[in-house]
Amino acid sequence: MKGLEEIILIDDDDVYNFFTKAILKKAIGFGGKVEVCCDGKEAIDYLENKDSNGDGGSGDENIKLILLDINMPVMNGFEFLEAYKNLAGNKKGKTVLCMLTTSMNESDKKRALAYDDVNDFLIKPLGKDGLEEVIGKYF
Amino acid sequence: MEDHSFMNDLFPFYVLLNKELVIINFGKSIEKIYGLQKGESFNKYFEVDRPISVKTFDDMLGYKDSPFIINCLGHGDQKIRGQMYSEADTDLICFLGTPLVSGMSDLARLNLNFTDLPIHDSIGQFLLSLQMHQTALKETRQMAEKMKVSYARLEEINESLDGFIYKLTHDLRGSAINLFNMLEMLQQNLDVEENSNNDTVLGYAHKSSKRLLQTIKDFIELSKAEHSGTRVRELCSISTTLASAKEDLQIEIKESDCEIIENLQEADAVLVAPDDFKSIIQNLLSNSIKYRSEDRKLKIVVESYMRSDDTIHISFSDNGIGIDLKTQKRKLFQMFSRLHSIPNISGTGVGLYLIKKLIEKNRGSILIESEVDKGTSFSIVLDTELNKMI
Repeated sequence: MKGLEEIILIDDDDVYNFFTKAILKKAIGFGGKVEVCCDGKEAIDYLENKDSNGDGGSGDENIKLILLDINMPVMNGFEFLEAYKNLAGNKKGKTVLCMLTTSMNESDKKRALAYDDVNDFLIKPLGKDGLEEVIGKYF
Repeated sequence: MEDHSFMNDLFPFYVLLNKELVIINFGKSIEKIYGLQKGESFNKYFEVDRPISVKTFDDMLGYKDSPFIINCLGHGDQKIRGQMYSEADTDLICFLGTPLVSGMSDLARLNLNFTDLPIHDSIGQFLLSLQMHQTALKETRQMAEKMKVSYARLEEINESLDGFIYKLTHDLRGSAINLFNMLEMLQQNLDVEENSNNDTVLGYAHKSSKRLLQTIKDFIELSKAEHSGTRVRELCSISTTLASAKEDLQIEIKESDCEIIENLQEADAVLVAPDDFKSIIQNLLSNSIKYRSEDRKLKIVVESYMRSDDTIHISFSDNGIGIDLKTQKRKLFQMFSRLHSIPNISGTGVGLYLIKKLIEKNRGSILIESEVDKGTSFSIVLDTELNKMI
């Protein structure tokens, strides 16, 4: 878990967010920030304005893990990926982006992994072991 | 050769010429097409194509026993085939012909029908069989067209079925996973977030199971709505159905403290399947309650009036959070698309789709007007009894 400073959960399912947050904080003991966004648009807004209150201009230096769901209202996972593609590099920082979805659809997987920004395609549920494995793999 | 009406019946394409190849008389069909004038020269309208180098009266007489092909000047590549006939000791020669036709398009171009052709002419038979082919071809084309439409419809159904199953499995799995996770957290007595305890986990477990049930219920409703069987429409009272829907939603109505204003005096009876109508009203009310504004008391106005085309217009207007139609219109009536992500409101994305489907099955239509933070108004148009009679 060396280096990982922030985890962003993008999912409209508040129960699942509660679960993941509890696992991260309590079972794994992740000490960094866990940000919850309930749709893609909220996440884009969050990333875009992230350093606006900070020391200004230098962008977001946080080493981040984004866990992205697909089926969401307002802006779904794929629409988020399109918007994320156009996000300025300094807003992205050092980020690992993993899809985390109940979709077991092969075409969803192919479509997601076709994006340069997507590192992995994970299927829910991702319990303590699964989350530890992902964090261990990338950080 | 004096009896022209007899000639006409037998050879509607005849042309009678004198020694100078001046037209003396002609058949009705050749006149119809080429507008021949008596006293004009044969060469003004025609040119002998075969036999070659036939120019004069004597040339023609010489080839009396040969078939002739004649070009029709100023009519593209139209030709008439036939032969020359001449009685001995006369200074007249008669061309007895019939047009060279290779298809229905030629026939149409010449504006010919069967009565323009002599009864003995084999071309009549040819045209008849051509016409039969043409009819058969037309029918085949129509059939192919119909099949194309059915195929497209089938593909559409297939696609929506794929989406249906995708979403069903996704939603069921999602809720089941949540339920499982919460129960596991309880079982492992996992020390959860600050300010939360087992009651929170239990609350989420309860919420997940409720959602699981809602998903199952939605899909039962959806499959009922998709069912293509004919619906029995009958005259339903809007106010009675509304009262029944309100009764089913009494908990939600009470909890939201909403005021429902009815203005249904002008038109109260619509032609619709009763179960569908209740489902439509219930879903519309439930949407207004779900997406109410926290800043003001929810007010829903239900109004109806008779339109000039004898249909009834029913509107459901609320003062809720509204929908941004500029960005969301495309998703509005799509299956499973949710327009809002408001915490604690668990839309399944079925409501509006279901409403539209049910209205269409009852031969009605639905329109939406909305403004963010002002409210939403749904207008339904359904038939009346009067319309059914027509």
